Amino acid sequence: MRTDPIRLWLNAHLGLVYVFLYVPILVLIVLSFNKSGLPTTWTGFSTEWYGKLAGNPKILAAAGNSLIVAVASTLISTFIGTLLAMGMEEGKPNPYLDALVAAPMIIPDIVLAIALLSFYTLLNMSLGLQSIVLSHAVFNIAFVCTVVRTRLKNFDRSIVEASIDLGASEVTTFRRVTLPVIAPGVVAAALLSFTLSIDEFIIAYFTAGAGQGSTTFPMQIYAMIRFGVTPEINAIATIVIGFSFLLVLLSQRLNREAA
Amino acid sequence: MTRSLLEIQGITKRFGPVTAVDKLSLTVNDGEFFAILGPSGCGKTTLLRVVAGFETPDEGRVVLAGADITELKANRRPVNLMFQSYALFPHMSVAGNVAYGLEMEGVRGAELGRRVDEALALVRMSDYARRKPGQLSGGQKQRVALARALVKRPKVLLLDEPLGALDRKLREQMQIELKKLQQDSGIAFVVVTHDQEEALTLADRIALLDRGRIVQLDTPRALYDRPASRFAADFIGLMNFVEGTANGTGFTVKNIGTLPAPAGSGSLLAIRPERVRLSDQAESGAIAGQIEGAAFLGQDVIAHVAVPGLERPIIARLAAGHALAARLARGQNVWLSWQADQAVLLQD
Amino acid sequence: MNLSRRTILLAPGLGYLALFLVLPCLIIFAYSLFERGTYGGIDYTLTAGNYLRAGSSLFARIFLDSVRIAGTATLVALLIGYPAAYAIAAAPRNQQMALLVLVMLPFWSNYLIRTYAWIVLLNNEGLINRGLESMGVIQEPLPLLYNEFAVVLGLVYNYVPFVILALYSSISRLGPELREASFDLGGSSWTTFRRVTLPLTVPGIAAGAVFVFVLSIGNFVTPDLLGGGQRPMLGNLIYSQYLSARDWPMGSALGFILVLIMLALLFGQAVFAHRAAGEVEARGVPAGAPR
Repeated sequence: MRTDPIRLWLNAHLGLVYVFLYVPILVLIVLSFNKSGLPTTWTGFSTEWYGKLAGNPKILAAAGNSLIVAVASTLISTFIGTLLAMGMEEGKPNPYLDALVAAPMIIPDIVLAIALLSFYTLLNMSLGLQSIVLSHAVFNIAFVCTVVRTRLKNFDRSIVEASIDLGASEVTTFRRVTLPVIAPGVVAAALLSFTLSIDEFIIAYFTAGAGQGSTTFPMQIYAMIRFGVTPEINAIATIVIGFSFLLVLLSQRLNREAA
Repeated sequence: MTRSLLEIQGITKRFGPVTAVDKLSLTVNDGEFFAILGPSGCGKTTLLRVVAGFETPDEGRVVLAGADITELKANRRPVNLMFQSYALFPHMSVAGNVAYGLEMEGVRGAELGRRVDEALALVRMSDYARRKPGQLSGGQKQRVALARALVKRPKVLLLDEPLGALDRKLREQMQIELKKLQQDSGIAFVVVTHDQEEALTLADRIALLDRGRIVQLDTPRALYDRPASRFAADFIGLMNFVEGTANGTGFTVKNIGTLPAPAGSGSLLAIRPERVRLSDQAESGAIAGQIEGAAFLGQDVIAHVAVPGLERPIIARLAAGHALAARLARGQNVWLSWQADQAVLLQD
Repeated sequence: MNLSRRTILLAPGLGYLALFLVLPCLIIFAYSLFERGTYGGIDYTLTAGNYLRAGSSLFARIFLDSVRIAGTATLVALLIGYPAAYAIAAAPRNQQMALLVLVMLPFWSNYLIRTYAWIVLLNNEGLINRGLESMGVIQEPLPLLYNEFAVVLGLVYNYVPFVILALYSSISRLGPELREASFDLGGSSWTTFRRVTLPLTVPGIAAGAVFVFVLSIGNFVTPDLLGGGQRPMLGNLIYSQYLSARDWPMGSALGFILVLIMLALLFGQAVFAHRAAGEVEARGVPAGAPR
């Protein structure tokens, strides 16, 4: 019943929005293959910036650090967050618990950053990758818990009782019934947690400490952007974008299978 | 000789201020098909869960084959439950579901396979062994759930509202299948249901519950013909109620006279619609009334007869072949009668 | 039995959050009431001075700037996002998921990278300026970067996907019946939109708006990279108090004020959503129906 011109206008607007969203990304991707590295002159197709990237020890170290931090905080938060989700879904909903779990996701990240820095300093804790892991786990636990809870809400509780009725212990029931059924949700939550940690900047920046060995990937990118734009950043950007797209497609696949 | 198998002794279960089951005792016999019937909230599901081991009673004991199982955990009881939602494991195949309980007993290899095949054949689901529950219809899921429980050869099989989710035709079919399964396996079945038709069809004996207590425990026929209370009379099937006073040889109703009734006392007369005889000729001793409405139900005709002096119409059920069945018209004068011994006297 | 099982499940998570979230927040709240020590430490004298200073002209200007920038970004994001969300909701059912994923996809790449892309596009030798110059539209490069315009643009770019998602969910939940009823009763497209669709999607608009505003006002990276220090916002202020001025009490106080603003907005939105839901139910009764 929409009159056609309005439909056309709306769709054109949507198209423009897509252009707006994707042009900056495409520009970076194209530039990363530009020999001159400058946005204004195209001197030819080249992958030399990627080569320079591969040979840049600082960037490689930062990427490695981010991987370590992401894996560690994902492991911690997936485990704790899943247990937390199960605990929260058992029994009556508690608005205070809901608020507590929502807090790390809502609080502005700079506030969380200064809070954690203050906390670690007060404890005289040595800062480094380990402190970043602990910091990232805070919001990751909240995200994991939220994702797994959604999965648990659709969980038919009677299959747990059925398993017990058929003679299984609580542990066996968890291992053979509960876990497999919520597994897709847990994996999706873990993926989310991993992505959030890899991309996180400000909390890592504040809690990494002064040491050279605790620079994460986003911290390195920030430094490079802030203190002198080099064309290698375009190559980094393209790789990061490619990776994230892959991860999203992966989690979409998982979601569709689970549905 | 009937041997008692499951004894529920004085079970009480409270949830906060609410007493769901109130000092309830009953006995289920070996090889019996037993029904626990009642409206929602009467405590039947709670009782079932106490027997299965998912609720701990506040008072009372559960004794199975002579052994007190009250303290026994649910996964150790030789009792299995068929869940209302079937509760099939969505990530396992049909065969996997059926095998699960046996695996918990340590059954492996060839014997495991044999027993699973046997169970699937029993419920006629052998062709579906590899399917996942998500690919099955409601009736098929139920059969798998049955197989999964029966394969463990429990002493008692508990069924929670087994036929509620099925459509009419399927329900009638499953009723017959369930009855056959029970008789063939010889295992005592205890069905919990709110559907009195289901209970009447399936059970050898029925316990009627109201608010946590047994109102009447009887065979279906006895419960139907001789309800002992207004609640029982009203809950099972359709029933006509007339208020008045029993006087030993009949039932006196104000402004109408004496209606046929058995000997005894009571202030309420109950008579089943199919026991009410309808005639378009005046008869002595018959009550006069007018047809208020008639409904054609296929094999029966239900007639509502307004009787002056009575608050509600008397319902009469005529077989389709009855002489009057095709000729009932609104406002038509009819006469109702019944045999004294087919009415029941109750206290109001 | 079940109670202790629940406690066991909840313990690790709640314990972790209590230790690494609640406690640190309490610490900075405490700090906000103390004074800065001579060498950057904490001087444990109780004072409300930090909060008072926060009201002073220097900080107040930055507050107002932050509110203005965040508010502008919110408005622009809504104006861009609403028609886009509407278009997606009006698209054929089977395309909607794909369209939404396409909207969210950029959001999944790194925030810094996305912001950096605008540096490349906006700076004086950047794509846009060079492009316009080569087309002869302008002689001198336009100052597109390191100003408020760039910051707003950066914020909008980053948060428009969220807004579209929030609005889409609100719009698609409406379904076609109410619109069809409006047409049936003689309403035009515009009237239907103005008097039926728009009012009923206000909760979605409010949710999206609060979301963008709260994320924008506490943002650090965008004003830092795209504002070039010219337009510090609240996030930058907190950063500099902590890491440059080494005035942790002041930084904490500012952080707390930020949290309070956020809580106030969320609370307001919750109340608003609650009332809006009630109104929608009341409005469901046709005017002439017997009560």
